[in-house]
Amino acid sequence: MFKKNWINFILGFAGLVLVIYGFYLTKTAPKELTGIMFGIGSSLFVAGLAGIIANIYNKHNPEAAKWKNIQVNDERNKFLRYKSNSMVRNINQWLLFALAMITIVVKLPLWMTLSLVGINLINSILYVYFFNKFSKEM
Amino acid sequence: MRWLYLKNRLEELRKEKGLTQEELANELEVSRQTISSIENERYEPSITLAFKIAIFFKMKIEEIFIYEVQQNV
Repeated sequence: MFKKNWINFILGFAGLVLVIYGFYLTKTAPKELTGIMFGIGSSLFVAGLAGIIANIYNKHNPEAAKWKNIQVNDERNKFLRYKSNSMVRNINQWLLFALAMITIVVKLPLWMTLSLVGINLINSILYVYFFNKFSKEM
Repeated sequence: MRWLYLKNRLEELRKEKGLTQEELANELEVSRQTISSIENERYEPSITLAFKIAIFFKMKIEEIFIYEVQQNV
């Protein structure tokens, strides 16, 4: 069981360590740091635990595991996921642009505007990179 | 030449074999929704899936999937 679940065990363990260490540092470290440790730690712990439970369930229910595998790998579902991701990317780019405009209008610090513009720029660069990469592979 | 659209006989062939959409989907290892979408011509299968369907029904691809083409008008 450990062989199949090693990633989930590591995730869960790392999450637990982060949460416990966050509690340990509550009185000495800044609140923001301990908050981040609790947040990330709990997410990792729950993700690891969910993975382990899912693997145990799939082992005892091969029919359900097969159905889930079909749903994940189904070509139409894959196509729908890619199409949805593409739409969300397009909408998010416009949202980031609108947010950047809002930060200018309400006179927020320049670094906030530049951060939003920077994210948009990184998105565009990554898009061009992956488009070219996949063009060469296909 | 004007390319029109893809039609298919999947529903007809499936019913001839007495299969439900769910049963055919299990045989082809796709979701039931994919079979339904193909039959309703809302989704065109990939060449791999088209071959799988043809092999399952022991027919040629062009006997199941018909691409309508209009010659020069």
